[in-house]
Amino acid sequence: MPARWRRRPGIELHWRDWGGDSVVFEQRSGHTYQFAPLAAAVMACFEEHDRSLDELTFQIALDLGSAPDNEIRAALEPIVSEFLSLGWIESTDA
Amino acid sequence: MSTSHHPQDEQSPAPTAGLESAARRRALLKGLGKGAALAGSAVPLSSLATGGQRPGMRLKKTDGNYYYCSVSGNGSIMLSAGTSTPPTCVGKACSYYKKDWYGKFSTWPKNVSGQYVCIVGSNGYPPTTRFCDIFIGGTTKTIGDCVNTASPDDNSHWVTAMLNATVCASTFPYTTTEVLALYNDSTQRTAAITFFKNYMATA
Repeated sequence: MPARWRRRPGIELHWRDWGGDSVVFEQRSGHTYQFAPLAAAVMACFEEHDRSLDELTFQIALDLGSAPDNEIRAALEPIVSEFLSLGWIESTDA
Repeated sequence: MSTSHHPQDEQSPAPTAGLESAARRRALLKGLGKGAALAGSAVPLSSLATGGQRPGMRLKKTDGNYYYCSVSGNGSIMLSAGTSTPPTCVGKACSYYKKDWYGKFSTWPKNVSGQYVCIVGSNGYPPTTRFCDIFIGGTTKTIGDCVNTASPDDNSHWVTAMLNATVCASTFPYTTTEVLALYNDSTQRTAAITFFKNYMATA
């Protein structure tokens, strides 16, 4: 069963998007972060509902008007890792 | 491939929040294209914003707002609201380096002979130096012409960044050698010039 992740309960994110920049305030830590559109879109996916990497790849590819492929998947993997490290998402097995 | 939906409980996002996130997601990627989206994600902006020896600096973006900048362990920019006020990391805009009323580049650094030059490492280049003789593969316009314009382009901003690295050495996050290295690194060049244009041309 492939890994699935969801937004961690208690994580509140307040986003502001300016074209090529997205800035987000994470309420629990009080820190503000800046992300490129792809990373911001990935987190938006998790804010909708839990996803596996395959589902994430499919959704992002759809939004980009592209076919889901390994290139997109490979670009999403470090982004997912980053959100895991930040503690914003967790495995649904948790 | 299917997407799943979880039954509502107090820890799950409210339905409207999910709809808002979906709308945001589509807006973020709309018109971007796969190439542009993936290229942007591959370049860690933090390595630019905190370059040189100045982590924890405060940046002023062209939107007029201040952001406090430091590096997170994952390489993303961490902009902290903080209670202290660190010094502002800033550079001059391109227009600062245009010719003065007398036709001289009097805001440029001077060499030991009193000539106005653009310093790169241990070399000083007069305004008549071609851009491509410093920034390999670039335009054949002179560096003076690059900044002496009412319509600055990326070449203008590269020269501006190089001049800022000397003129604003106390507040600019990169040395002249580092600016050149960013230009010469094809994986960093686009993000670097974006950073210089949006954050380092606000003084």
